[in-house]
Amino acid sequence: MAYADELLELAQDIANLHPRQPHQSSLRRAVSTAYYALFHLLISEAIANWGRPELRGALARIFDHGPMKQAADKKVSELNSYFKEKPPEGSERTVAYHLYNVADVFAQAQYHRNDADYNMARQWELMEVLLHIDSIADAFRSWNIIREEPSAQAYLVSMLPSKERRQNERPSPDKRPTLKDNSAP
Amino acid sequence: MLPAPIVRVIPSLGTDWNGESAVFFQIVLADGTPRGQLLNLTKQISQAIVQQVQPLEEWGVLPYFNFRTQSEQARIEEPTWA
Repeated sequence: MAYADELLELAQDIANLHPRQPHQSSLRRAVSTAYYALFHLLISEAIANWGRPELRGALARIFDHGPMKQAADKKVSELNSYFKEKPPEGSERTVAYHLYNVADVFAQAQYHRNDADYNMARQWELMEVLLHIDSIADAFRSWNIIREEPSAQAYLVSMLPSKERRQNERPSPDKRPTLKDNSAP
Repeated sequence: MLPAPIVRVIPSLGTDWNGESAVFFQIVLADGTPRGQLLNLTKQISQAIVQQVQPLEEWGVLPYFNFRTQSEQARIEEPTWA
């Protein structure tokens, strides 16, 4: 079994360690482990393209949480614009749907993983944790459907850190109200 | 009125772990919603909110979602007597 799949299975096992009275420690570890499952899935898919297997481990270490989150946010934003145009049914839309699912789940999972690991004020409940894990398992399924598609492969490359991506790439809002704006409430 | 099984939508503004402006949607679902339906339901709800509110495109905030059942939310809102 691949490491990412093992992590996903482990997340489910940890979440269900104490089903009658779940421990916060196991719920937190489950959320964190599920995120790492998707993190390692995407990295392993990216480095599998490298022709020299002995160098794939070194290549994997280049990937980092921040640039991967930026790539996910950017892809979600791009695909939101695409879906807003109501594209016709077909393979392009299907691929876009699954890629959106992967990128969106990654962005959400990274936020919740940080909360699970560092925000001690947050209380976790079993069902919400199982839902997080379910969404990551669903992202795995989406990835397996589109992994050979050019847009999916391009997404993997977009996760690499680059000087350009370190700069803020978020689109600015079209009509952000200001205090001087007459239309502001 | 919210469509069943959505009981409450609690939005709050803040920043995420990267310091980006964010909106956090805590969505409370009715107890007894079949487990097998929950994942699709949560995807539909979050996509509907993103498409209608457009948090990033219109307001410049990244949206984050969390879903709990009514009884889970009630437990979390209970006062703790340490």
